[in-house]
Amino acid sequence: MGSLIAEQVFNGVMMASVYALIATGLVLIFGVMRVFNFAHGEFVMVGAYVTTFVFAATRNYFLAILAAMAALAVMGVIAERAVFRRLRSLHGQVIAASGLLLFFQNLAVLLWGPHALRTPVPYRTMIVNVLGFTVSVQRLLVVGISLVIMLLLFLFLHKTRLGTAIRATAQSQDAAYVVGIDVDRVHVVVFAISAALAGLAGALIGPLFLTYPTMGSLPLLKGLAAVIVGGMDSIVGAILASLLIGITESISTMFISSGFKDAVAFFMLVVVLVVRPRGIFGSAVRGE
Amino acid sequence: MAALRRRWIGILILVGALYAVPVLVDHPYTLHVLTVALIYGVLASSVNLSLGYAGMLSMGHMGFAGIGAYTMAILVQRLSFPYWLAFLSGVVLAGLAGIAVGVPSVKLRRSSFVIVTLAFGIIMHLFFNNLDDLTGGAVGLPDVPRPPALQLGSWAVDFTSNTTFYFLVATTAIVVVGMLHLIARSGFGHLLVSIREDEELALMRGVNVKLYKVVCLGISAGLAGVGGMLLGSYLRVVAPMSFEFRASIDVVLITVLGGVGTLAGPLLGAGLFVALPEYLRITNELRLVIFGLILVVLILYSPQGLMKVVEAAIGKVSPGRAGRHHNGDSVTRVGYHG
Repeated sequence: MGSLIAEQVFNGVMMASVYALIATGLVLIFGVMRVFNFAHGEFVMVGAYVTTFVFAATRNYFLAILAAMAALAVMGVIAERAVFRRLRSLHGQVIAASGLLLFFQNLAVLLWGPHALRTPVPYRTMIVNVLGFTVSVQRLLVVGISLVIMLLLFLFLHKTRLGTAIRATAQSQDAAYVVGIDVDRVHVVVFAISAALAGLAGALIGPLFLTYPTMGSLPLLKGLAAVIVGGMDSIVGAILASLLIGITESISTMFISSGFKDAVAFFMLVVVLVVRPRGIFGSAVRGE
Repeated sequence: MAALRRRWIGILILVGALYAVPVLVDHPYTLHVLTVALIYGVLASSVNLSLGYAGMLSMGHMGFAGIGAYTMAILVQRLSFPYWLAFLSGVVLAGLAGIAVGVPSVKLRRSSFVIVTLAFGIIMHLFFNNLDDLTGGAVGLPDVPRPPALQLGSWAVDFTSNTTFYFLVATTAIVVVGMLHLIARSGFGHLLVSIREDEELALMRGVNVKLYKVVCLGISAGLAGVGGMLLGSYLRVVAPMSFEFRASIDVVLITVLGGVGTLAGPLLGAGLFVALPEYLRITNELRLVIFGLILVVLILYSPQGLMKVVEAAIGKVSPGRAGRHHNGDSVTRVGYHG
């Protein structure tokens, strides 16, 4: 029983790392631009496809991950320039993002077929023994790479000029203009980072599960749940909420049918919103 | 006055055309496409009520539709309820679900409201898909009945034929749009629009914003239930696939495509969304790729939807209609700024 729980907790932490990558991306663009990107899950999906194809061509998983992040950064810039920067209203953004969601999901079906693709990364079947229980190296990589990237992001946001400019813009766009920050550039950079994080999430889960056109939907929704539970504008909150959701979800499979596993995050979301609308870790509500 | 008369003539011609189709066109496929389009028109109209008039964007409306459809099917099949009593129960339960979702969520910020309704839709779909004993799981409930024959003196209308069922769907669509028209013109509708335009101001003027929004969501959810039941009755099956998260997006998309906050917009949008790809003979995926793009372009360049484009075109042809935006009932059609 004890080792079973430990195993579920580890699984939970692994899923939480993926949710955290997605949630952090969402918080970044929401915090800085007040944009709600519903098509973020499709970024995850495209990231997984890029990984699958680059891995098939080069047999190098780490190169494939980098390629996915780079490709998605470009896609993020295009999405920001072409669509999101022109939309100020929440409903406009949500609807445009839904349009992008339909566009990318179905384009993926047309280009690559509806069936799931396998990414035969060798780390999936490589097993190591950690603290008495066995895990695949791929699962450790998911947690490890997410952790490293999050640390790098933290350092970037806090130790560089551009990172500071991003945080300043998140605090007050008007003030950022006043002190001479190139807010336009900040928006592009933030969207690129956010999309690259989604691409990374796709690159990590694609080989573990499978790569298919609708694979981004559930992770996105869990990420969104983490963003809300975590309080919309706090990266730390989003990460903690991701852990909470990932672990609860994973442990819940020991008690409820796995069909309902996915409902856990959304129940938590609804409960948190009703009891504490600003989220568990959220600061006071700032505007819309 | 001339403009008003012209408008009524236009509406009469449209309604007449709707009823005349099965008589003029003896083509089962056309009838099928129109029936599905009109059912989606009803669903989109229910989204239109909450989004277009009260500014509440629900991404989980097919959850309400599903509650209606499953309620009706289960009551008829398991508890042998008469069809129309089961139908009414479906409307009521879907409406109550709308109220239950609305009470805790209408006071949240708009972004949170979107997410709560989205979560609701997903949770409902998970229930439909997994409560095997009650809902039949992924397969759903087969053999959902059509409404019983309507006895008018010695003349009986039997809804098992697709033609007569089409008349029922067309009548429902007309009634729903008529209802929306009455709501939009009523004091209730004007208050909803005032809430949509400036919630703070409405609050300061003493409007019970929360109550009106909850009631609006309740009515809207009840109407979604009607759409869901028509869909189930027409397809003769109630299955989770019809009430997916992406189906909820589809109905929002249809509403926006046609024109949020306009009466005919959702019907126009549904017609385009359902019928066009059927006749262009393109695959479902290509259709959604194209509609996804159209939606993005539309939101960027004409956020008020195609109805606005149509109206502008008509306005150019007949100057009488262009002036309509300045008369009394313009309050229900002022630009949508969501």
